Amino acid sequence: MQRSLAVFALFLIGCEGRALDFGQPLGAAAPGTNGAPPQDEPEPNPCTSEPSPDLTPLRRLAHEEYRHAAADLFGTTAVSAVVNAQVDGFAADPVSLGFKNSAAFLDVKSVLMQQYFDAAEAIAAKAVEALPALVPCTGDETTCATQFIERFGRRAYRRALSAAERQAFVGLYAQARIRGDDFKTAIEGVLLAFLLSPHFVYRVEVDDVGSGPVRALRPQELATRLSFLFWRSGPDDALLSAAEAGRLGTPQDVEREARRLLADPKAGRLTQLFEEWLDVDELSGLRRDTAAYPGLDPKLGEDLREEVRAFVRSVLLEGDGKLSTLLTSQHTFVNGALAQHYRLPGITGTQWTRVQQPGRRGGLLMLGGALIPHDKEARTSIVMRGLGLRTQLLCQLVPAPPPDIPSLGELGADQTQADRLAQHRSNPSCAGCHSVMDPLGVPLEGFDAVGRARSADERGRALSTLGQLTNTDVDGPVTDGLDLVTKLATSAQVRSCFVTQAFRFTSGRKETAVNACSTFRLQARFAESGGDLRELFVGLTQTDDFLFRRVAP
Amino acid sequence: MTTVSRRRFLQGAAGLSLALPALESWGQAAAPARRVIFVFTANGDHIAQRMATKHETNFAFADMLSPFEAYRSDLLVLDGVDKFHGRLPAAERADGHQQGGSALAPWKSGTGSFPLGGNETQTIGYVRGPSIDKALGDRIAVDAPGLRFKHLYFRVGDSSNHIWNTHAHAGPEGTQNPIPAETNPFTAYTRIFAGVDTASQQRLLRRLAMRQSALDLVRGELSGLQAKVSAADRARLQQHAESLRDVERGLSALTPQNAACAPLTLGAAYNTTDATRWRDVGNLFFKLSAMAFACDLTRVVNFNWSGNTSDRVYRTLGLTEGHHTLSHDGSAAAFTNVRRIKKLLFEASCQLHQELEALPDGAGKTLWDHTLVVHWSELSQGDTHQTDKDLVVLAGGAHGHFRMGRYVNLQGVPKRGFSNLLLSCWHYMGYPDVQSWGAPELLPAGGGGIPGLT
Repeated sequence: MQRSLAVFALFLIGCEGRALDFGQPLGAAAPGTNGAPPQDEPEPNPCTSEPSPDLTPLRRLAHEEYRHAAADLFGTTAVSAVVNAQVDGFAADPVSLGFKNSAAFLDVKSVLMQQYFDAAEAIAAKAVEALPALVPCTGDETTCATQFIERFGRRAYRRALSAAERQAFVGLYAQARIRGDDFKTAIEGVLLAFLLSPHFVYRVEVDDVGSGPVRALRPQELATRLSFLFWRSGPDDALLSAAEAGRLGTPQDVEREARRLLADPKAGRLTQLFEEWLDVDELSGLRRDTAAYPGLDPKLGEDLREEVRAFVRSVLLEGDGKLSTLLTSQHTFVNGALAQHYRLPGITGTQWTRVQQPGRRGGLLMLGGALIPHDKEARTSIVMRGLGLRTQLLCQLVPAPPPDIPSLGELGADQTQADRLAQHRSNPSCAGCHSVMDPLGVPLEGFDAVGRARSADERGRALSTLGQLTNTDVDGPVTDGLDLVTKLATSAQVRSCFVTQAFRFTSGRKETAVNACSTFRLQARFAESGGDLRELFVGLTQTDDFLFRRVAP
Repeated sequence: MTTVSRRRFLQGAAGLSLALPALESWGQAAAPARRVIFVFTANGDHIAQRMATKHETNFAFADMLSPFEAYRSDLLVLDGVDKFHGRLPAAERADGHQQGGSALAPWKSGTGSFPLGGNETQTIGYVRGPSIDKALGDRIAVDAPGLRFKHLYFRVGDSSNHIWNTHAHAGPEGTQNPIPAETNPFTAYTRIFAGVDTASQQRLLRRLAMRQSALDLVRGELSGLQAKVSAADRARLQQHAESLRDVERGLSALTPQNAACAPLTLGAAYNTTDATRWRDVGNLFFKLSAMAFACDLTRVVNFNWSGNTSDRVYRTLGLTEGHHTLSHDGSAAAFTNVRRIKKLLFEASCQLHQELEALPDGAGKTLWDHTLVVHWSELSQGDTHQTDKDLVVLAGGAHGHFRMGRYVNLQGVPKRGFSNLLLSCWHYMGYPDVQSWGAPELLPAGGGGIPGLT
């Protein structure tokens, strides 16, 4: 989600004692008041014979999608390096509901337009350095250029160019030659236009007049949706060919291709969902107090991110794919630097090695990279960790503090963070929110603000990891972090919330009542599969919202 | 620097038919422009410890504000500006930091972006209307179509543009449309000053034809698509097309003949998200801003020392707890530290004053004489989250528009709203016709600027 949950000041939460539902978990039974667990009776099936997708805004590529889509067009390390350098400099997109790909906010303002322009120039210039590989040409240059425009345009636009489009690009090339540009420079100009084109920058789906209110997606549109879902990039040649040859016309076709894409190494890019979900992607700017945490490797933030990615890939792509495994499995990956950080002996060098977690530690949420994004520079933050679990894992909403927060006075010099929290849980105006956040954060106190196991707090005092699950379907006391995540891994609320998060990330929008059928089917499929993440991602391609499109009025 | 004249520029692009903006004022000794720069510091301050003496002219700063003493004759200290969030029904109030941090866009907040409840059933969202820097920039661009940038929006610190970090909004009214900040002064310099230094100008000329034909093609595609999509998507594509025009303006427009306008030397690049470099990054943005004014590339800058709710740790003050955390403590010791942080930030902000004073702007004058600096924060004070007694310091010669050298206590003044303050800024910038700005709920009846400032 996002870094600055810091609005929840440690001492001064005043609210009414409710953890509220933050958007109904998709398709789950509506929780009762106070975030009570879902009722037992199953929700009625909202699906009818009519497909009911919600409106889909025109989606501009998220920056990570631009990164992959641009690099994949060329497939060379030289161009990829330029793409990476350029995309790293793009102004970050607005965060919404924890993700950076909310379609409503992905537009092209002036700064980004300039950055797109600079990126397109740099990429085009680098790409034509290897001109013979990019545009093999032994004969007539105009013929070669025309063929290149058709071939490259199909990949950039994710469909065959129309005759008019082809003509426009051939004209661009010809104009350059008339102007005196050589072949290479003229091709560079063509690439510049392709990379700036709205048909590259957006995932365009255009409706014919009178095709509403709901229409089936065209095969090429399905190919693009599929490839962006699994690869965060445009379709490969095989997928485009399947679409063009009529082999992407049924939900079964779509499922077949979905499974093919999921089996490809490029599906590892799905880790971005998990990174954004838990704010792991914010760790590149990790800052810690050097007195409290001396001797940290400057690349610790990057290493913690890679640990999370490697762990997610190992479960999602190579393991059993279960959400419960993701939340509990007691293995991880370290390189030499990270092993030293975690004090794991015997591992050196830059290679990543799979290891068993020592002690009572397991699952995604207990990886360093997932624990610490909201910690303070010199200490952990029980409140922020607890709030993160409430909002990110349980999809609950916590009221913002009121404008008239009472001051609790001075923090005693000998008070621990836990003491202080206990003090303000005894204050009625603070207790409401803190009693739902703190007991989820306390069990994770066994890990410091740089993700290492510990037995004493920042001041060297013994710490407690006894917490409490409340307002969930797995309520009860918990003894420590591993106990907490083990219980959460059995929660239907957690499972349901993850479906919500996956829907939001892959759709680039929030769920609404209109797509109740899509979300109902997703929930059912995920539950029936025993919480199999791969089935969830494949299931995302089988919904009304994926296969159909609501035509804007 | 060697300034390339418009004529030479045209010769360099010989054979091309270029749509050059109307820039008839070039070459004439135009009157110095009116500029404004907003300078944000986070987490409010300490209401009771602003002033040692609260007298209109014989005022004395308390320690926190002492860095401004050297500028006292060019300051207007406004004590008690009210964002009037209290006028909103409880269900329409968002978080004090978030809503207060968007006060340059004094509209009501939307919902749907962050899992905290503005009320008990809705997530909070971005404000639904434009910020003054964007709206002023749009208005100025009508009068000065050759201006390269309608506004510039900078933030020091982490690069994430989440709801707490976002202080500029594009609007229009009724729409959540946050603007991502630029956080890297090195890349911002390259973007903003392309063509101002001669090296990039040569590059520019060489590439101009290729660029122009590619942009022509893309413009055609954008307009073709606009005809085929929904109204909401059309608005998105229109924005894109407008941004394309902005880029083209940067490609073709050249710098006016102002001797003070010259390329900057920024030094070697470094990691600008490194928290220990916050002051260096800010100083670079100040240099950029002042030079952008001198070159008349823009007239409006929205500068931020951080996002709101900033939890930056000010290590040079010996602190280990973050700014936001301290601001919520409520203890005397914590307030002392909040004031020390604020003093440090005000001291750092004086570098902007110096940059403006250093650049000539017309006969015997400097940019300082022709700029308004607005120092502001999202909250009045952090521990209570209140937004009803803000400290706002106006600084700069500002064309003599304001009666400077004064402390003004706004207690009891009905038109003491932050929206009123922004209306005063509109008027200073030459738009006295603007009498209403922001959501009506946040603006006292009758609108207008804060009385008694000019």
